[in-house]
Amino acid sequence: MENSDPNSVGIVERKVFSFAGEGEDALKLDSGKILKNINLAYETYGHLNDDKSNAILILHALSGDAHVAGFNNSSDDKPGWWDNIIGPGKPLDTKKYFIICSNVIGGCAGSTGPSDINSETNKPYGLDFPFVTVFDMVRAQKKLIDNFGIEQLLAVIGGSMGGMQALVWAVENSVNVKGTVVIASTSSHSAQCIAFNEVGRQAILSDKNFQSGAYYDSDVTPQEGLSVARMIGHITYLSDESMGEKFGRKIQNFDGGETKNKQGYEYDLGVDTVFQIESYLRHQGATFNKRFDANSYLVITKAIDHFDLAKRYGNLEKAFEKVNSRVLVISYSSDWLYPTYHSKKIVKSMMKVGVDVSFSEIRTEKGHDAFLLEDKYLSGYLTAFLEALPERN
Amino acid sequence: MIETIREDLKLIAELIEPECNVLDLGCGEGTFLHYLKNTKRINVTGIEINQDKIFKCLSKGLNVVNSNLDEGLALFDKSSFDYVILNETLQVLHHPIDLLTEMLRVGKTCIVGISNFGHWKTRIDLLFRGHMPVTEAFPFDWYNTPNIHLCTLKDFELACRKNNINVINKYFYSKPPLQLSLSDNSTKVKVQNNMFGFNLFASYGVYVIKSNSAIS
Repeated sequence: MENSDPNSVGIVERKVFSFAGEGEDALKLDSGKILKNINLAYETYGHLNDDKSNAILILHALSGDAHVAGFNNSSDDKPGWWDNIIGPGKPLDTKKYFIICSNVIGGCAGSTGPSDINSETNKPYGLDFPFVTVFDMVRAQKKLIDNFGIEQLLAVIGGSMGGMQALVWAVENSVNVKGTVVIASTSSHSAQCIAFNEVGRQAILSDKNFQSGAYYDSDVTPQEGLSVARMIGHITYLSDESMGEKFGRKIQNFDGGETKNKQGYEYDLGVDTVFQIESYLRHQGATFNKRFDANSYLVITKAIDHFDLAKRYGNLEKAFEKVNSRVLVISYSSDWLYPTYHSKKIVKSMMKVGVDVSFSEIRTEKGHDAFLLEDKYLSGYLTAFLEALPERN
Repeated sequence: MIETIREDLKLIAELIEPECNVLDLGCGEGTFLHYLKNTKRINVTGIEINQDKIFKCLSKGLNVVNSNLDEGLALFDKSSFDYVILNETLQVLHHPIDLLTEMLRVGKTCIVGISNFGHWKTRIDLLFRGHMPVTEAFPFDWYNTPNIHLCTLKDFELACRKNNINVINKYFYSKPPLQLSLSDNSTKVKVQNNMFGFNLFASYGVYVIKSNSAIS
């Protein structure tokens, strides 16, 4: 499998960077609260060169994790979430670049989050986990990059929530970044984005097994709520056209078989005959439960709903005045979660204050999640943008 | 490495002061912008519709925006560029005057390069041969030409007058840009502000324009 593929990074190991432990400074969060004994999960690919000038930091989306390329073990059937972009000979060429993908605090994929033990109570944090902002996530990542001894990242690259983190890197750590790539992202959520997240959160909170977030020692967890949250989220990552193309009005039984009814549908509410899109969403919801924690879903959706660069700095121009890096902003024509106008707002404000910014809207019917799919244009943009970065002063 | 560039682009480059900022509409692979950036320390941004060409711009370290010029320049603020350049592109646009208006909003000074459909060679094709002209300047058949709003240099000047656009300066070439070789010194290029019978003998013209309001 992975060994036979010369363009795969092969077997990779998830690592954990621990900081803010005994005798070290705690991480001060935007909320004013502090976080101690922090773990941050990450993976790396390729080799850091002698002058530490070839490091690229990858930042993931809401439901992503640090496993961005390759396989964690030989029985994995699926590679990391951006394996089509990262590897030997790929746009983020691991023969040239040292790739780091960092997880986020508040998550549930190896980094400190609500399921971890609160040292003050000796119980999992649950809803006591402090409010985390996208800025807090980046603060923790900065510690990781400092720990590598990397003074300047060649690039920070992120899609969706990862794009928000990339923007924060470019603004808050401007001298530490040479190039910034913001894909299918935004400088703040629209009311519609918040609305969808709120439906997801309410699904979790109203699940009878939620138990005020203290379900870690319980036999039951808010699986149904988290499933519904994932289903609604997933709809916003697709598009009318892509759903129509993939599922249309096709019908099947929930067990996956074709319906026996000749007309292809049932009027009996008791018979679980479903449209394929329904079955697909239920499957998405069910598999999400295996890898995601409901409390983390609350923490992270809150973090991105409250992300607002303009509000934080007065306006977007003031935020971007600090940016030193070259910036590439990419949007997708059928993304209705963060439609192109979100990206244009970023680009326009950056241009006003003289940031070296480039922008493209990629035409696709695939919706928001297009950035995760193999696409020659995204590959082309990343390859070309990175090529000129080492020469930039 | 600094590329050699065509004579017509060299002229445009000479019209632009060092260390200003320039927007090039339809910047292609960015050869000209790269030249401006490296020889005159100019801040450059390009607009290009072809994504493969944008890759070339990005790998040269240029700022480039993927956009259709017929959709205007809404991303850019009023007077945000010292110069806006539109070379050999005006005649392919659906709404050429709209773009000129947009250029003049965004740029303090604009430079437009156009091929002359009134050149004697094109006239001969239509008058004596009875064919839609196919010349060095307009090397396409009627069914595959990207040019949809053909004009003569006189037509362009008339359109400027009608639309309150001031022509500050103009330069004419007897040969079309593609015939202006990179380092061919034997090619005598006529560059002058007033050329006798320009609408018949000039193959290509470069106009420096400003909006009337920008002048007063």
